[in-house]
Amino acid sequence: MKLTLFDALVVKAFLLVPMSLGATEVSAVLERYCTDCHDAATKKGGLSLEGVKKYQDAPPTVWSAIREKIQLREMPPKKKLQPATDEKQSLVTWIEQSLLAAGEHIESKLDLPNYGNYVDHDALFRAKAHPAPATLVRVWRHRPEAYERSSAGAGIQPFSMAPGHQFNDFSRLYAVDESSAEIILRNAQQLVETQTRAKLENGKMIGEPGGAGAGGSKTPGPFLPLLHPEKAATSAEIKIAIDWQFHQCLLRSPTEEEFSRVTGLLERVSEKYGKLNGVRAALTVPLLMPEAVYRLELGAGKLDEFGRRRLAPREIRMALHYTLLNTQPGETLGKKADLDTREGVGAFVGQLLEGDPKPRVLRFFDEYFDYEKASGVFKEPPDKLPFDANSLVRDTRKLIQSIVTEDKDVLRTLLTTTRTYATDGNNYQRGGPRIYGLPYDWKPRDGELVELPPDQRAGILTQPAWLIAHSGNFDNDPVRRGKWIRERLLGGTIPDLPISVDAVVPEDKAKTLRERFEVIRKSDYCWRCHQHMNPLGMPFEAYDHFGRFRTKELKRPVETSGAITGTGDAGIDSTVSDAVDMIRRLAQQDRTQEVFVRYAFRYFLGRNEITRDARTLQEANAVYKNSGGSMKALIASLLSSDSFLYRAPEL
Amino acid sequence: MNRPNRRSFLKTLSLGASAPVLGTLVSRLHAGEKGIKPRRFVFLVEGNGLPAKHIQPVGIARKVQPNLRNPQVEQSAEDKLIDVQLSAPKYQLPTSLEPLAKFRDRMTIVQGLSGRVCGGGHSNDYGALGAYSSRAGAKDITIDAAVARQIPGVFQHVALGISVNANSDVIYGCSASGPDQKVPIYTNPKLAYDMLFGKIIAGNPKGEAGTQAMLLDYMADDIKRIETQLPRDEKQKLQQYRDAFQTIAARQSGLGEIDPRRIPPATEKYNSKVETSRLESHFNLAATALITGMTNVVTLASGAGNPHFAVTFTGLGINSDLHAIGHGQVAGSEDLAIKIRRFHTGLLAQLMEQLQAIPEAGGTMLDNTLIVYLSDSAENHHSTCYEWPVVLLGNLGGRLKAGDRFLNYPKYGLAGHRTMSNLYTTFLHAVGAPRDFFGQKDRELEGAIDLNGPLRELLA
Repeated sequence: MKLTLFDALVVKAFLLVPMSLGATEVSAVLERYCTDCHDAATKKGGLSLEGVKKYQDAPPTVWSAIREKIQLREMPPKKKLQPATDEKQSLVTWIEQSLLAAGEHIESKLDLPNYGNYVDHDALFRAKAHPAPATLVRVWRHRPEAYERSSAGAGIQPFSMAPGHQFNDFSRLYAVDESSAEIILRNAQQLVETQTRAKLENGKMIGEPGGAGAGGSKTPGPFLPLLHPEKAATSAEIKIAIDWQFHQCLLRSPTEEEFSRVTGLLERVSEKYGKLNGVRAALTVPLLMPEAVYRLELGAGKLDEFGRRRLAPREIRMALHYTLLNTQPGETLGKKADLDTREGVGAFVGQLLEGDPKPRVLRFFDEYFDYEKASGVFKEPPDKLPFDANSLVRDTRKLIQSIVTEDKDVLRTLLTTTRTYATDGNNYQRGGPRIYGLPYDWKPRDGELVELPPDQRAGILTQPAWLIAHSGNFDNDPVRRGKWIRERLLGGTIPDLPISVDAVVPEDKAKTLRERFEVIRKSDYCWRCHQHMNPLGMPFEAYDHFGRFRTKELKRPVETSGAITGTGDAGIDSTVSDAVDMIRRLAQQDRTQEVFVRYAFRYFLGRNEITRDARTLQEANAVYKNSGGSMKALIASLLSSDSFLYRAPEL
Repeated sequence: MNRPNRRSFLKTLSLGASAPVLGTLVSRLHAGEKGIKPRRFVFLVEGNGLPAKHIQPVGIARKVQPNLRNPQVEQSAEDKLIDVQLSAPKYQLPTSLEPLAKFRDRMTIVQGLSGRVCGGGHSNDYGALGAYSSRAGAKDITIDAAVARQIPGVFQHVALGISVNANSDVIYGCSASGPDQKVPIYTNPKLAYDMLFGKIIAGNPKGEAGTQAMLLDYMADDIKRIETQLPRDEKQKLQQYRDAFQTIAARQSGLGEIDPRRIPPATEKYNSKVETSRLESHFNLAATALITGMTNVVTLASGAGNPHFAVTFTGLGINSDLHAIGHGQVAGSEDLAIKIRRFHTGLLAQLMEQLQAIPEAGGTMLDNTLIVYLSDSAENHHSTCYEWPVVLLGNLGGRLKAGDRFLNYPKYGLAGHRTMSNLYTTFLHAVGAPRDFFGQKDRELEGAIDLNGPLRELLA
């Protein structure tokens, strides 16, 4: 009897061991779900899988593509027979193992920003949650400002952040490559060289003047005894010097083992190349250690019954600090806290978040709404309209800040407020008030929030800065606006833009943008993806591409209707009359809030959620709801969750 | 300038050098002595577009049509391949290329290639040298890094340039050595000088090099201790860090053998914040790096990649940035653009003279070099990439049928039309890494023309 994949899965389910597929099962699954279209005769998309029975029968690129299409649920097509979840997972695992065995690189899009929504929403919020969420043991390259701190501000910045419309501090995105390492090494050597330029004068060691070290020199006091040309330093003096440098760079003392290894290096180099070189090598070590360039999140102690380790207290402090603050971690390290319990960690987070919203928290909203890029959208203002996108961006930033400071019903207020700032001095001079629809003679008063007509504006998505950020040089951009709503409010997914697509709508001055977009609707190929974006973006035709509310386009009444579709929830799907109507409907939905919690999770944990994080998300969602929409409460819940505090060597 | 002499440079190298990297350097140089010609590339990528008319020889009529995307500008409308001798008496070099007149016999002007896959706009970023969509960032290796892999020096690839931000030290913008592996472009000439030659200039006392070797060895061991605690992907991050230290250690021990007297001193200009001085310094660094064999591939990025392009060439007495000039918002924009262009071609001429002065394999270093001059913004300030003007200088030791030529490919979509990908494929053939295709295929052209293969007219 031929063993089918289903049979194998049944066996696996009973044995509860990871199943490894054999060639027979792979060819069976391909035959069952793929070769209807991808056989030699049909060869859909130019791909035939006929006769593919083992890894060697197809090139690695094809296997990678199959894996990705299955993971992103793009294949098999929705109308065709679908494999079961386990079946998909087994095939994906088999492909991954085969690629790795063949020395191929695996790129996992699911780990990248903007792919988080591919994890099934219901599996996170409606299914029974795994009792023990965790993050994979990881190293997370420091943000540029954190490197500056650990290198004592020395030299050249070796790190940069990935640009793009995404949360850009994802741990998976960054590694220290050769060119960065070269700069890090140079910085470290230069710093240590400066720190160790000392000479003997009248029997006393004097450092080079002009620093914060010993006697106003560049040399830290504890280093002086090691630099004496004649006298050998005592082992106690060496210990103090090395300890000083560890504290300077890593904010901790070396362990006994580290100390003995560094001392060993000092001795070996001294013996071969002289004392000064030995001292310099030893003092350079903490500047180059992985800990100086990466956040280490390894966890401590034995694995628990779920295969996890809790982060050590010091790791928790560091992780919280880097997550929430851009300042020197020393202050966080010094604060009293009970980090052994979830409640204690939550309380500590609350303590760190006290006062005005922290820049890292505001940064979340900047990256979530992605409105700042308005400054980079080039436009030729019409009718001598004074126009300055930068001041509109500042207005929106101030509005967000005021709502986050209030910390009440944060998401819903951000989405529906009818208020705005239009008080930026520069903005007043340059026409800001007119863009908001305020009268010509309107005068700004410092710090004043202005009420705008509720039928014209609803929150950040109707702020000119957001509208401009999601517009082109000459037109509105219903596609990008719709994509934003689909992904960030509805939690939906949009396939990557096919490479071959030259996304241009025909120019025609006699037609409205909506009319010009008809070509997309008429093409099945285009509409397959655009149906998920355009109906959500078209309601924003109530504004021109400078963000001004309008009732007419080309002297005709402007058409602003649209639709919320394809959510899989009849309570959400509906037609909408305009953007304000659409946003107000969405702001009332539980799902919108859940999706927001998912985005917050990604930003504050630096990774996408997986189904095992369901408990963390459900709890955070409940906390947010019960706290009346407090961002601080949401963050405290996320950062005291098992997902944040536990590390697993494998998941 | 104190030019290093290649022959005496060779004499300073010890054949008994143990480091493998130096071993290859020495054997390569001696191979050059025996007549096996080395190969070198210089890519000059200038921001803000290189309009076809700026490199169109006077006397050769340019057939044009309104651009398919932006009707206010023109695009090539040739229906067949034009291939003529540049030095024919009836043709003259355009103003922009006049500074290179002396090297007309080495010049090949290539018009009519397209690069629609890149997407167009102010800059095609990594797509310009990668022949792929610029939307996804550094999604794959770019051609400069790809040829560098074939002809590595002590440094596989050196990238230098200027940015709108005169205070920057390192930027990333147009060059990648693999997916998401952006090549750093040094914008601070003094820093680049230190990185390339600092250790050699300092005399590299034995103690310092040896100390560094021991330190890096220690670090590699230190990193390894943490690696063992990590899952696969995370382990790779630390492996990369460790590998980096090992490569640096190997490279530095090789540098120790190079005679510091061969490196010209850094001048005051290296510390200048004036963009013209910085660019001049980078060209000089490029010459030295090539002449000493430190590298065989240099990318010079003059405001290439977003947002680096909006440079103001104050050193030329111009007060408007390239963005304003590109938009024609400034009186005399066209003249200013040509003035800036001539500054660049003047620097190229100077670099060529420097390479020509160094004997190599029965000729000069210039004979074995190919300079590729183009813009990351293709044909226009707001590029559409229906055409991508390119100037080639040199013939890579005869591996290309280049020099004294004007080539204009048939317009987009017509039989015989070719793309930037075909040009880059040609380079790969010329460095001994032939492949059918480089970058991404323009699906719009599929079926209409053959998208594969090198430019047969150019490959020797």
